[in-house]
Amino acid sequence: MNRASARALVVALALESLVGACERDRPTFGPETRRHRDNVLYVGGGSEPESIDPGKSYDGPGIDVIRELFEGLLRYDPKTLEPLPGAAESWEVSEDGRRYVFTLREGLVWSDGTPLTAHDFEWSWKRVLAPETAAQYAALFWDIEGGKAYNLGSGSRDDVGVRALDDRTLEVRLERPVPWFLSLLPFAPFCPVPRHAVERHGMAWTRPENIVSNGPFRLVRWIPNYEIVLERNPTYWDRDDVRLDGAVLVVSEDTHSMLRLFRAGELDWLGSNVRPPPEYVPHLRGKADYREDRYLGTYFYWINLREDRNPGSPLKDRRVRRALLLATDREAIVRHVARGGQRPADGVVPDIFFEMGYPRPSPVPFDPEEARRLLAEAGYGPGGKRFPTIEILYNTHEGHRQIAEAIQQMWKRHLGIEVRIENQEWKVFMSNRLEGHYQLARAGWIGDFLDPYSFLSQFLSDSDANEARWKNAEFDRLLQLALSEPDTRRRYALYAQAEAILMEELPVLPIYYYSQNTLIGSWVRGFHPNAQDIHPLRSLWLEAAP
Amino acid sequence: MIRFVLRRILGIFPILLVVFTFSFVLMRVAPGGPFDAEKPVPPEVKRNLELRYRMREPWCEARFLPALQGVRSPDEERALRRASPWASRAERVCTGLFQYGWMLGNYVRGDFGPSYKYKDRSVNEFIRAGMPVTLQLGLLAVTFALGIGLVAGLVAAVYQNRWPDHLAMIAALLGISVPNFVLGPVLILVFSLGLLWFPPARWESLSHVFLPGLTLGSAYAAYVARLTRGGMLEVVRQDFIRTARAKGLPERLVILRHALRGGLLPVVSYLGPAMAALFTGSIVVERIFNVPGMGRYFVDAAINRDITLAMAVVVVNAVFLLVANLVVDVVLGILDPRVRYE
Repeated sequence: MNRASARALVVALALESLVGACERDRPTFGPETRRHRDNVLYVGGGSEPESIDPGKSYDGPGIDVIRELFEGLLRYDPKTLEPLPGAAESWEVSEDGRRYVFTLREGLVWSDGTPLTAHDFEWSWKRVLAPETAAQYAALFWDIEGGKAYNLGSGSRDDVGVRALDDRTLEVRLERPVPWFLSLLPFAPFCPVPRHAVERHGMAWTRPENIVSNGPFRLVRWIPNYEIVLERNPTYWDRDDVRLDGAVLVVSEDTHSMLRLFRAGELDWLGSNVRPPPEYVPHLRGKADYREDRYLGTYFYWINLREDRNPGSPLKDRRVRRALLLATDREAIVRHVARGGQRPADGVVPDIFFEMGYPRPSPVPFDPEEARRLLAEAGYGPGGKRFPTIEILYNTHEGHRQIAEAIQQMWKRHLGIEVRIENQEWKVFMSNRLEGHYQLARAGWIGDFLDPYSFLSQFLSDSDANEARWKNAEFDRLLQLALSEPDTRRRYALYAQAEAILMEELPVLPIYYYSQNTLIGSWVRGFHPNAQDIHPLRSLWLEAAP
Repeated sequence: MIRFVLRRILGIFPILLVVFTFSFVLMRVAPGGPFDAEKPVPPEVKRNLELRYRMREPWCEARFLPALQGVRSPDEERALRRASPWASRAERVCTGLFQYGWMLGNYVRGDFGPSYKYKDRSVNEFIRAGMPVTLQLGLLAVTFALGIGLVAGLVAAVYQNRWPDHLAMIAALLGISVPNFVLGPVLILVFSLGLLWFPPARWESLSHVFLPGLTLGSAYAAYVARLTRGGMLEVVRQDFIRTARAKGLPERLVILRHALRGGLLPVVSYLGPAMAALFTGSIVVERIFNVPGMGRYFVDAAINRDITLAMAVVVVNAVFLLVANLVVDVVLGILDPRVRYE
């Protein structure tokens, strides 16, 4: 993200929160004043973290905890998510964008007092790549020289391009320039892990009694499926800037019970892993402690284009796919079905990027007339072939069902197409989607980093995430070209060209851009909505706390 | 009697083996694996994971489908498997057998193995953390069930076909027919969000445990009430009760000393399986009240295809059930002179 667009975003967000402040006298969903008396933040944590080991993490709740316990070379700016100096105080990037040298702060220590050095980073990153670690985010390190080979078992640990030149200097060499490399560094897998504790305790090193960390908070208690308790880490380099004494993350998968806890004043904030269900939203909207912001994600349907599946399916005709998209009233879906502040999608790159200078894709109108014309052109409809029944597959969930039903109805009404909708339990659904046993399948994509590449790369011909198995050489070429383009605007222009091809070809039907809605007490200060819904606790504080 | 108990205890092990095997097969043949996710990990990374968790066995691959080890994408693997279905099946069965042996070996050592979903933890830790909570909640629910159920049943039997009877039986009917996912939120709405008497969820103090205990116990209380009433009514018609009354014993003694003992028999036989169910927890109540027990894993672990965790809760539940039934049989023998240990 370039500087000007970042600034524009900050101003926009600041204005938004100003408006929020003026409306303080609106009614609230939770209590009007805080129930708890301590300087500890009570947050909904969502489901049980799969792992809080930075090297092994892969799930949202786990990554949220890791962000508090550990700090990488860089950390997130709470407003813009741009990388700020973390464990590293400065860094240099070589001319060709392939060599980074980081200088660590002086006197860094782990929470047990052991010095933290560049060697810790080298060891931790290589640990993620070690095949026996079986880290799910290992592929993020494949751009590091020799990283992929080592991870796949064909290379050696010593050839990986991460090296501690001395205790305070870390050198990283990349295979190719990665424009957003710095923005990856605050992310959990890039955080250091304490070698001495990992080697001593094995898998159990993340238990409260064993864990050693370097972040703003340390782990005090972790009861599975119940709570995670954090307290300020007295050895953190910037401890004086951490204003909370600690935090309690209440772990529960039951959204309703979380809402009740908030209502009763037991939670200060619903947290970023718990979303009020759509049926609550009309009731919550207008409440002073409810907020709705945009989120870095896109909701869409895959259209299966695999050659070995669904032979003769009309969906393999581009005009049919276009017709389906034109006959989908996404505005109505957003307004009456999803109901949580989503915006109809005209592409796969979320609208958050538009303010950062990403060119807006040409709008897709709701145009049943044109849709019928395209369908007739493809040989279906009155006087033509009969359109066979098609099927929408989705994972069992009330919200997905309602959207699928709405689309079923729209296509029936506007195109006369029979649509069957089928729901499957999550793992069965995923297995069928990955195996290509579907015609249309629901999908949601959340960005891992603030670059449109995070959304577009899944459509590369050789991507495993390309579940339509759509292949387009020009698309691949444009994306490749974009990677070596350091200038953000020009890179975005290339992305936009690629996205235009995607929208021409339509291996997906984009439906809406995600929103994030949450409940947060007015006494929680320092909260800034941002694209990835990342809110480091170190920048939050409680009004009138002791 | 000791021989009877010993024989029954020995009999538990083959049953457990059957339960273990059956749940293993079910978990393995269910479509979808523990590592399937919306954001698929690269196939090589997934392979590392599967090797680590014994979902792949290099020996089986080498023996039956050697080409598998050179495969670089899921599409290639699918094509390969489709090309030689029998070898692919043999490889799968072989891998399954290895995994089965590995898990069985772990069980013999008292280790439920690593969780497939929660990568920092072993299954034993989840059971160890969840079981005490579930037992507390279960005990509380049993207390509620017996406390409310016995009294209501006794009153109903003593005042048969009069208003206390009707009142108790209508309450019991409601208790049986209102599911706990309705009762729980209603209780919260009234007693915690409305009257502010109890906290709406979590497991901290005595005031936190009351509502979940009541929610979980109410259906059981209703059954206990009906069974007590039925058992009592049957017993009070028998000759020895008439004898007791004829001797001039006060009615209170007739009921409490003579009738109750026989009238409770159906309740005792019901309590065995009921307690086994209560002590393995309730997914619904645990979720609604955010109770950190182990009941949730019955559903969650199966949905996540967390093979080891799902099997562990099934096996633990089987142990509870078998032991509870054994205890009930022993208690029945003590209460009922007609029962003999064979």
